[in-house]
Amino acid sequence: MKGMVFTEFLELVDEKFSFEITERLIEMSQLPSDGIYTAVGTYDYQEIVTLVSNLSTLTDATVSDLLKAFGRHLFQRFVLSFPLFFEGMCSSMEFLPRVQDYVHSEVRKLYPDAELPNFSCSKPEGGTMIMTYRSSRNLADLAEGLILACIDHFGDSLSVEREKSPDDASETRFIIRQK
Amino acid sequence: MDNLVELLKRRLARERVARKHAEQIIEEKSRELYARSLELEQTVAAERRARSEVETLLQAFEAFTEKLDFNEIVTHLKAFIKRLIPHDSGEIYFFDGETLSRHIGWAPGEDGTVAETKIIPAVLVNEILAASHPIVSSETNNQAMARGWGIPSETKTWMAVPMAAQGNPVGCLTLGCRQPDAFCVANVRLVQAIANEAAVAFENARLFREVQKLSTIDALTGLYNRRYFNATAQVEFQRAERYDLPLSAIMMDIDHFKRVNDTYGHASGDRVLGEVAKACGDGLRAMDLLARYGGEEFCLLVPETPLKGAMILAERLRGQVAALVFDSDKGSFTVTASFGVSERLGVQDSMGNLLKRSDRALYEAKDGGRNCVVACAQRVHNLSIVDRPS
Repeated sequence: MKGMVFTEFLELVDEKFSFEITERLIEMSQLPSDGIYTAVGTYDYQEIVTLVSNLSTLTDATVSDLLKAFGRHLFQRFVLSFPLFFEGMCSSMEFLPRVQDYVHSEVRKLYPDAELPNFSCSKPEGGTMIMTYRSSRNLADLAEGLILACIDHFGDSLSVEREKSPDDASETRFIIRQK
Repeated sequence: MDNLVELLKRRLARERVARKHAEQIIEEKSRELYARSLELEQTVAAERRARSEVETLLQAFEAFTEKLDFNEIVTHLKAFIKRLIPHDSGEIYFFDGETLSRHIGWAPGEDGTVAETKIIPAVLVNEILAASHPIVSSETNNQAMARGWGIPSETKTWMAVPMAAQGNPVGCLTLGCRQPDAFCVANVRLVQAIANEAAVAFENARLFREVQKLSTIDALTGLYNRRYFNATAQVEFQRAERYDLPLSAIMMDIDHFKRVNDTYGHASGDRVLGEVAKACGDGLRAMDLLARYGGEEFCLLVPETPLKGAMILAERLRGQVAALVFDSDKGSFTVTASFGVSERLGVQDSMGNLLKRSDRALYEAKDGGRNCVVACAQRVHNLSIVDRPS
C-alpha cells in the first residue's frame, strides 16, 4: 500500500486524537516497519489494518467509523494534491463515474505498482447511480468515507445507501440518490 | 513531561529514518527517470529521423510523379539519394533488354559526373535484375559481385538496387561507401522505396516519349510528319528572322509515283518511300528538318543556308534518289524526284510563303520535265528525264 496512506493516517490520528495516542498506537502495534513511513514508499497493507484496529482499541471509535473518517480525510488530500482530476467537474455524479477509467489510469502512470480497487458505476434510472466497489482489501468503509466527502466537496444533496452483494463478499454497492 | 520528551525523541528518531528512506527512494526514482528520459530521447530522435525520411520520401514521390523528362528524373533521383543516404559514390544504370549500361555516375567529393560508358557482364545483369531486393556487399558478403561490377577495392560497402516498374526491369542504382558495413537495414529499405518510385517515373517518361514520337513521326518512313514539320519550321523561321540568318526550304516529290504503285505494287511503293526517305536523310546536319509532307512529297528545311547552298544540297539529293535501284518480281527499277527550292526573303516573309514558293518551284520542275531542281522563279537545272520507270 502506498506510503501516503500511512502518513496521512498518522497525521489524522495526531490531529483528531493526540500526539500521545499516535505514539502509543505505534508502540503497541509492533509493526514490521516500526511505524517509519514516507509518502514515497510502499508498505504492507496489513499494517494499516493493525493500526486501525488498535486505534479502535485505544479510543472509543469503531473501526468502521475510523475508516469512514479516514476516507473523508483522504479525499480532501486528493483534492489538494491532484487538482487536475477535478478540473471542469461540477458534481459528484459527474466525477464518481470517472474514478475508474480516468483517475485510476492517471494514478497508475504516477505509481505503476499501485494496487487500486475497482469502482464501476451504472445509472439504472433517472437521478440514481449505483457505484460498485470491488476489492480484496474489504475497505468498503474507507470507500464510503471517500464518496461522502466527494458529495460534500461538490455541495450535492445526495443520500448514500450501502448494501453488501449477496453473491460476492468482496463486492459492496453504494446506491446514490437525490435527496 | 519526561514521558512527552521521550515520545518526541522517538517521533524525531522515526522521522529521521523515514527521511533517509524517502531520500533513498527518491534518488532511486530519479535514476530510473533519468534512464527513462535517455531512452525517450533516443526514441524521439529515431522518430524524428523516421518522420524526416518519410517527408523526404513523400517529396521524392511527388517530384517523380510530376516529371516526364528522363534527365530530370535522373537529376531528382540523384539528389534525393544524396540527401537521404550517406555514401561516397553512386551510379544509375538502364536496362535495354539485354545489358545494363551506365547512364550516370558520381564519385567521392565531386559534384560532376562520371560519364564514360560502363557495361555490366551479362551474368551479373541477370543476377541483379532477378533480385527483387537490393544486393548489399560488405567485406564478407557479395564481394565477388562488387568486383564483377568493377567496384574499386577501397569501396568497402556497396549495394545494387534493382529498379523495376510493374515487374519489368528498368535498370538499377548502385551506391558505394568507403566505410565497412555502412548501410543499415533502414538505408537499404529507403533506397529501394525511392528506386521503385523512380522506376515508375522512368517507365512513364519512356511511354510519354513513345507516345510523343508516335504523334510526330511518320510510321512508314520514320521521318517527321507534316504536323511536326509545320510546328518546328515555324520556330526555326522565327529564329532565322530574329538573327537575320538565311533559311531555305526544299520541296521534293517522287516522279510518277502512281506508276510505281500500279506497276510494281503498293509494297514496292512503300519500299520506295522508305528508301528515298533514308537516302535523303543520310548526310543531313542535325539542324536540318526532313519530313514526309504528304503522299510521295517530302519537305526539307535547311537552316543557316542560303538558296545557293540549298540548291547544291537538293542536287545532291536528286542524284542520291536517282541512284537507288529497287528489286521487284517484275525486275529492278529506279525512280527520280523533282525538287523546288526557295530561301527566306527579307521582311514581310513567312514560313507559309517560303513553302508556297518552294512548292511553286517544284511545280515548275515537274512542268520542266521532272528529275530536276528548280529554284523559285529561277530555273537552274532542266535535265532530261532519265531512269524513268517503264
